[in-house]
Amino acid sequence: MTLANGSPVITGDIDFLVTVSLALLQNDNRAFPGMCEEHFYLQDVVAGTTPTLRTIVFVTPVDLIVETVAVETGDHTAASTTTVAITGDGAVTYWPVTETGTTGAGITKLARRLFDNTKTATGDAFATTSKAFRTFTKGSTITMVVTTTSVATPSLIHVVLCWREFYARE
Amino acid sequence: MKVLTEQPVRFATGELLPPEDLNRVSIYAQDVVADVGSRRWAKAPMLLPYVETVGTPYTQATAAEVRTYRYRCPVISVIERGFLNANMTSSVAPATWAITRTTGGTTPTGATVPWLTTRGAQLLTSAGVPSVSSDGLVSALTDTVSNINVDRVLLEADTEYQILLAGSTFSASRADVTMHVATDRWGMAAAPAFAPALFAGGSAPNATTVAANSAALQTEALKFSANAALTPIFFVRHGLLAATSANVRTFTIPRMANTRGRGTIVRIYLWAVMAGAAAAGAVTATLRDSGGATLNTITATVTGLTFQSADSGVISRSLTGSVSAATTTDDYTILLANSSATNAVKVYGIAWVSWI
Repeated sequence: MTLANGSPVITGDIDFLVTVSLALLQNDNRAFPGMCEEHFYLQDVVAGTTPTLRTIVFVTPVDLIVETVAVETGDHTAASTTTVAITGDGAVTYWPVTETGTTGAGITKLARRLFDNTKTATGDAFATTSKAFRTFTKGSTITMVVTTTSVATPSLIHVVLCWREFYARE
Repeated sequence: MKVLTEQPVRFATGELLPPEDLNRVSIYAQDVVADVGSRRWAKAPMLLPYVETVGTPYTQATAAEVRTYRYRCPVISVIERGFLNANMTSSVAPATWAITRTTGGTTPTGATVPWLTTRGAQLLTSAGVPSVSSDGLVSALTDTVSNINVDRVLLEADTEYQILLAGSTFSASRADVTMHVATDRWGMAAAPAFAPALFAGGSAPNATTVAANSAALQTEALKFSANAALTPIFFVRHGLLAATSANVRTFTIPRMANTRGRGTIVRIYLWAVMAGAAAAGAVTATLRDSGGATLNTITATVTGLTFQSADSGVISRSLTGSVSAATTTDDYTILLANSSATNAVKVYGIAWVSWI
């Protein structure tokens, strides 16, 4: 856009201003959405561990959309079962999230779900779809309880919440 | 937040524009910059487990460094809120948490002293019966002690802070401190702002001013592509020997498909607390790709030391995978290791991620 003082500003000049500069803002894909990973570690949790010692509570600082929940264990008893149950208050949709699977020696990664609202069958209601959107609304209290039938120590249960969030204004 | 309702001026090619129409375009662009610019905060909770190993409570006799978590962020960050969820099986006097600068021991702006405490904390029994504690708090294993601090604490860039659990007599079988950490895209400096020169009604054509406005808008707009706020990935291992099974000191970092989210690990801080003056060796955190190949190794040499920290410096490791995070094959991992003969009582770190 090259203008000489005194020359008329024509529509093409304004087009440049709008389509080029504002387009830079429109293409600001860093703004939405962002992602985040929250990692939780529970060492030496075994069958019979007092619930308060295998419960994690946290409050969400901003609206979040859960992408997936990754659960992996280290050095558990062979053929044990480990379950991670996540619930929240704040009137969130399609709760709770429960991930469970067979764990054992070595590192076991439980199967993960991508919460993208994919239906199992066309006629399914979203509410009954295992991959239905999960949201944490800002200020929700999220409670995560881990249960295992493993009795082996030392051991590790590692839970990763992967979520999408939007930049906050405040 | 201003709701943008007006559209830019619609006109036909060849039309000459009056000053008022030029102003409307400029003001619209100004509002867009302000609107997008105000979306600046990335927020994440970061949970610090003060008692990680079940059955090994923290008391006042626990070494101070073990009762401490250190924090560092490469950019200015804000702790917006702090939450305590604990189980205090014995407490004659309140247990407290305080935030101070490692160097100098001063309290950062906005932090109360103490920052969190069991004094006046809420006790929630397993039956859901709440009560409020006074000095001294004993809770059964089935109970939860909670406390909240909503004061904003401003933390300086690349400055180390300590969050110390202290008290005269206490025993905590678990104590989780959750911080709401916020970082902004422009390091707390002013967000991009477009302030166009406006025309008065009836003013003469002034292409120079229009050109200057356009250049200024482009300058501000370009700032948006340059910055992304950071979120933390926290990792911790209580008890780390050379012989500790790799299966309990390897931590997965799921990666996202590029259609879902793109992140880059830009910095990793590592801290190692040893059981005593360590024998020769080092504590390391190794970032590995999905094939197990080493990407970065952060080394804290602990020879003769009870405590050591390490900093990766500026790094750039993409967390963008070819498949979604629901697929495990693309995971990165962090592997902790201790080559000394001395137990690392606690090894922890923070990996800072820039997301787009």
